[in-house]
Amino acid sequence: AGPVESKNEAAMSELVPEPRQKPVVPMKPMGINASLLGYIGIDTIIEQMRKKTMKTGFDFNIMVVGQSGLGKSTLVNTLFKSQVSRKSSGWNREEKIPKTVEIKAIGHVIEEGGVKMKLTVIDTPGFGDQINNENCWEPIEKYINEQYEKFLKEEVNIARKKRIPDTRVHCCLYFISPTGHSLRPLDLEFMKHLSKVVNIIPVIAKADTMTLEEKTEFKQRVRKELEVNGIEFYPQKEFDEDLEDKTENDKIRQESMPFAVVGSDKEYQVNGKRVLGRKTPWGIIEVENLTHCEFALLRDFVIRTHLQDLKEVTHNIHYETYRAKRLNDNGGLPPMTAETEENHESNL
Amino acid sequence: SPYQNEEKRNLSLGGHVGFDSLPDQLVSKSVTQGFSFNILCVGETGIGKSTLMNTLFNTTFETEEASHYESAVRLRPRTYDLQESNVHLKLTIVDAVGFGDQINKDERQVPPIVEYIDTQFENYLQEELKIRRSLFNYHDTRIHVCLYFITPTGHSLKSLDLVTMKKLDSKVNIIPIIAKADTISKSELHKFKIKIMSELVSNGVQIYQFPTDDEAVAEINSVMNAHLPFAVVGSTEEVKVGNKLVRARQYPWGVVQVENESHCDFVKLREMLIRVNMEDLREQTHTRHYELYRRCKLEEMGFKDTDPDSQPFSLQETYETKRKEFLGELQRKEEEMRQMFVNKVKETEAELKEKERELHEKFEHLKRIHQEEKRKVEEKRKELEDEMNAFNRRKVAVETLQSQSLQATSQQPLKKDKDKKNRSVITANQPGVCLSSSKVMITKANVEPLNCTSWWQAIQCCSCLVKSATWREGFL
Repeated sequence: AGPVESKNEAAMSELVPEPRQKPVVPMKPMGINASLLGYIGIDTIIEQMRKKTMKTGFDFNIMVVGQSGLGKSTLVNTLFKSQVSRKSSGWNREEKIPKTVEIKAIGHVIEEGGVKMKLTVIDTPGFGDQINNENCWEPIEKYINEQYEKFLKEEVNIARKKRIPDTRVHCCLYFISPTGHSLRPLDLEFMKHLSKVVNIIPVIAKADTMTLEEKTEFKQRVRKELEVNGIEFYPQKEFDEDLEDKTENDKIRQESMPFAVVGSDKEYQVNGKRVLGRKTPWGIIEVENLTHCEFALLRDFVIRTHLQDLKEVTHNIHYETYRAKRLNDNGGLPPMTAETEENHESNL
Repeated sequence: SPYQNEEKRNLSLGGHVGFDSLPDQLVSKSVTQGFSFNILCVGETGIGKSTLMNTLFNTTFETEEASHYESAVRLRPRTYDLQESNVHLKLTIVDAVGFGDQINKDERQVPPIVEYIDTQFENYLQEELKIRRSLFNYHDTRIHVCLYFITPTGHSLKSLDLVTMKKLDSKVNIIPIIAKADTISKSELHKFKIKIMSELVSNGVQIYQFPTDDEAVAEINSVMNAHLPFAVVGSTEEVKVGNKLVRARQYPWGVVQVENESHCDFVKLREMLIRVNMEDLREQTHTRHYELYRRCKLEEMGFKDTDPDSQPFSLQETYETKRKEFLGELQRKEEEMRQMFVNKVKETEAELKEKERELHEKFEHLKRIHQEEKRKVEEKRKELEDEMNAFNRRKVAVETLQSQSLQATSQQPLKKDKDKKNRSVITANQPGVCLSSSKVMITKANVEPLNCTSWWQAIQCCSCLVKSATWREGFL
């Protein structure tokens, strides 16, 4: 005998605009485990899905924030093994440090193993470089919210695009200066404000200026300070989906993060292999060597294991929060003129 | 814009970065969440819809036979959880029960079907419009494919077929199937297929085309497109052919094997429906049919998109209404709670009042008792006093007599004293002797006044501990 089903006569899920006689539709139908007697081929959907996503390609938007000279551009170039970010080292460029925080977004298309990725690196020159750095996170917060707004506008259209272009910031690398002491007030302020709107991954820059002990101590202190100040960096505890996630992420949160990194785009010969590194009189610091620095951990974390998750948290949580707030606060979507932009900032 | 324009440069990588694992990351997330697939079966009763479903999914979904006597078309959805390897599929099979059974096959056939499809779109749209929504958790009930079962007459499509498919083609992916294909011969089948396809084309019916834009599947899909409509045979019974057990239908003249491609197109259907294009069917439903529904619905409600430089948003009013509803709901709940609270307070107040009344009554009652007691005691006191007075009078009389007799017999004083003493001793030791009720009362009481000068005061004073009665000379 086959499985017996139970019918659920349920009302329509939400508000129906016109009062009509309610037809019988499933609300939460009962699932029954059907025993399979042979191969059907349902599991091929994985392959089908994979093929489709390879065709459409992926977007990824990464923002780097930190004072100038901390090696942001170099690190991003090292992460993606290409000149995605224009280097600002070597003071022979004409550009001076900007008087306010600027936001520079540069997009590239990179391909690997048949997978096409449109990578956008958002640089924030001028952050933390002024004498008075009050509220220098505001232009950054504004930029992030503007991307959410852009997406929302597209989503709300009547005739909408098949694929809405995603310019939302998926990941924000915050560079901590390796003072060895503690976080600066600016660091705390920034992370406090922004951890609520974007995934923040704190990294300790130029980690080759600290010894192993100093590094461990500093990391512990930084973690403590972040905890004390209630700053939830990515991966956030509240978004752990299941026990497996939690244990994996706990380990990262409590031991590895913040990653102490060193960046480089120069290659040197070490033990017969060509490696990315920094050459100093006392030795060559190998970027991808885990005993030298944690770059490889950061790279694996951001790119090889959690990239999709970064995007999903941005879409399912940060974006939804923005959307809900926006729709609730203003009772709809009033026009975004230049004047109302300021008003919205204060609302947000 | 204050930001630099994006320069999309194609960059070459200097080494292995690792984002080629992205499809795997994405797929693994989907696997965790699970998939839904929803099939709508439309066809006359008894044409073999349930059997085909059972055959496709290698299981027995349905046990009851459908009746031919339905008064109208109704849709019956049933959901099942299927699992293969690590893939969890929520499969919903929707049956259009009673389709084509009525004598008058008029407009009442199709609208329930359209309504069902639209309702699923509507539910999704409502979820999408919610202020607080959870789309990634949402159980998608939108119909991904409609299998339309054509009766194997061998001639042409019925007018009901054309009418139905025409109404559904803009709402759902239609795959037409010739049911019970083992009742038609091969040559007739070929002609039948051509006739059907040309009728569909000439009537402008847009059936689902297997996608040919992806090189990996383009070839097989275009080949399959040419085989439409699929002529299928369904069976869950197994027959021994050679040395294998296969699913088949056994006739006196031979065995029709379901999975034999020269017998019928079942394998092609399974291949196309499940193993190659399931994801595309889902995608088309979402990006084409649902979007169309959404657009029409919103336009119907009076919204328009504006051109980029004019300001107002299209859905402002919807959100305004939604927000009002949301706030209204909150208000209603608040009012409910407040009302509940008020009621509770009233209840408790009433209870307390009742208790108060009871207590008051009790108090009155006790007061009355107390007064009654007091009155009784007062009575007794009066009695006692009267007795005392009577006794005193008798005493005086006796004393007078005694003094007279003393004068007469002055030689025997001792005896009298003794007598007196005896008399008093007797009185004290014989509580049973009823000399005077007051004395008896007192000796019985066996109490001793401490500070009182008179025994009446002693009785009245309740703070005195009266242990043994002591009598002053004066009393006796």
